[in-house]
Amino acid sequence: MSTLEVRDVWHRYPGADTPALRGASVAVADGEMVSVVGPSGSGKSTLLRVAAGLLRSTSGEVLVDGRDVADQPTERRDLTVMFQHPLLFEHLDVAGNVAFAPRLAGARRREARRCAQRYLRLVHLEGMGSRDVTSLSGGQQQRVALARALAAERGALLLDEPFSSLDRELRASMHDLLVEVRAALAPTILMVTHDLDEAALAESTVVLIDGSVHQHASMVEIYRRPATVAVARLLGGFTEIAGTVRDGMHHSAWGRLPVADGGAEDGAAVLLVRRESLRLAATDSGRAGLGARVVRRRPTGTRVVVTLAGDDDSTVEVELPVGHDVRPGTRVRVVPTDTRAPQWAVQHKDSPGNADALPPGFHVSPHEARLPMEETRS
Amino acid sequence: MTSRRVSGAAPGIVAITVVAGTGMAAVVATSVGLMPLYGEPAPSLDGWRSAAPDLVAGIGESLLIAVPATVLAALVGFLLATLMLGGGRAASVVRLACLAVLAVPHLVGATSVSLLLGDGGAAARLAAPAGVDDWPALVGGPWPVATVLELAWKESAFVALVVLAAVAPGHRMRMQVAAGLGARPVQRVLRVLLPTAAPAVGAASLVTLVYAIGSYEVAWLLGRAVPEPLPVLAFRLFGSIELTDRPAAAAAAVTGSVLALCIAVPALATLPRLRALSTGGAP
Repeated sequence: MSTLEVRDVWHRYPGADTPALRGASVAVADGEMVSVVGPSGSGKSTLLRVAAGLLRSTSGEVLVDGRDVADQPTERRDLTVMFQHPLLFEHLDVAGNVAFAPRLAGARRREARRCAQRYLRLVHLEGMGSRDVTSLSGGQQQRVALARALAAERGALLLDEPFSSLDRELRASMHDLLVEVRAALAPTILMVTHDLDEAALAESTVVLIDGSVHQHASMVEIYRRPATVAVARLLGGFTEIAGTVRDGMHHSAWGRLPVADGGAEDGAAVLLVRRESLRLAATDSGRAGLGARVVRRRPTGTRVVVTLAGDDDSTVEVELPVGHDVRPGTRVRVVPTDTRAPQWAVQHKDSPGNADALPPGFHVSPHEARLPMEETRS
Repeated sequence: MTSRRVSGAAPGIVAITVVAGTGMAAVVATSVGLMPLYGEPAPSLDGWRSAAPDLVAGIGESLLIAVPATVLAALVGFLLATLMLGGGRAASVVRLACLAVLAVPHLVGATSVSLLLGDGGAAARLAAPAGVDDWPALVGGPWPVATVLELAWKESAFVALVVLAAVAPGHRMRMQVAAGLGARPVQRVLRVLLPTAAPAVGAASLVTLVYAIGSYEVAWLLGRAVPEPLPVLAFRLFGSIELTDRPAAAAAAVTGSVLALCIAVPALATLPRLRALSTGGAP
């Protein structure tokens, strides 16, 4: 297997006002798996297509084993791609599909089919080699597609939302299969997905928003300490509290709350509090918190999500155990579960696409350059 | 086939069966003397006997035109479809050209080809300054070159558009997957596009072949006088001032139809398996 690195890649689609990628960089070590998440239109698939050579970037480098392959066509990049849909070759049977790459590489028919059987065993489809691919279920087709990609035995595997067309149960079984395949072959994988659970299968995750990398860390770290408000919004479940950090404390309409190390420096900052870390208190409790009115409650199985309108016009969501009886219209005080525990705060971040950083051929309107990337809701 | 599909297709099937069936029944009856233009109907094979030498020669001439024209149309049509699948400006130009070619009637096409390739035609005049004084007899000569070229020219556009319609959905992604698996451009065409397009190429070629066997106007205008392909023979004998030629004309028409059926029926049985036949289980 190989290393894969996409370095400072910019891309603008013809006729588009803004770049789809703004200096995005991702590095995948040999045998490592990195996932890329982001909202729709964030440039995830564009990044993968640039890495695969299916799209020519405006600028930037794509390195496979340290060798720049940006000018090479896909077939010479030592990478293989697996898409959301299996796209099996219908003129070939199951084993014929898996044997496709070995045959291209010059293997004899019998040898290629033997190789195909090996990979079919790996994806638990042994004995199905002679089946017509159109007779397979969606999950089986995707397993064949995975076996076909692995049988190519190329340096790195690029997965473009590979399991998103499958239902939840099949997706879970494909996740298990991916773990097995990684244990057996340790392929280098770059996977684009919008499923955060799927992203967590990787050693690390890149959060791509508006074409630029906002964070590259493990999913645990990203959930614990989102680098930007935009990342927090992508993950969901955070309440944003606008205010100012001074001497390790966040000052806002909620009062003074301690700030965890490593986040915001002194100055304007947004405190990010997970909604399960908030609770409701009586208005006369005298605790640090936000005066608010209950707008609605939404059961989510074992929990209830309560939406509140703050006195400062902000909207706050609090997650409570089911059975918590709070009626719309009730006035309460929203407080962190533990007001002494440090909370995670981040500074506002200017758009990474500021005019000074743009490569030749790019232009960003003054409005866009001025506009902060994240805006607080308050 | 479900009953709903049968009932949906019924009007078309009935119309085709009635028109083709009635026509075939009438022409067969005429060929064996049961529908004479004058006189009493009497079973007779005189029409078949009188036309027999011409029918045998006509079968050969018809195949001499139809087979190379179909092969050429299939090859050129597939190449044009490949060009159109490539996208870009060239694809748009080729697509427009194909549509324009389809809109031109065969008779107009044949006239144009005669003006282009005939003795004293545009090609001969252009070649003369280059020292080509003895222009080959492409029109009306011993080999049906102009006839084949005209049919191939027009039918290649038909084949191209049929193949395009059949292959275009998902084509780009299939090619990207193949490229990701290491297939070079030529390998992508030979190992993915060609087998994927084979059923469409086969079906369009079959239509072209049957059409070329049954069409008279191009060979009538561009072909040699003797021997005549079956449709030209049938056309001439039907138009003959000798009314007793009608059974022979009908015999030529029946022979042409049987020839087409002899090719179409086994081909239709083979077409669904064409993809498997083209590549087998492994590429």
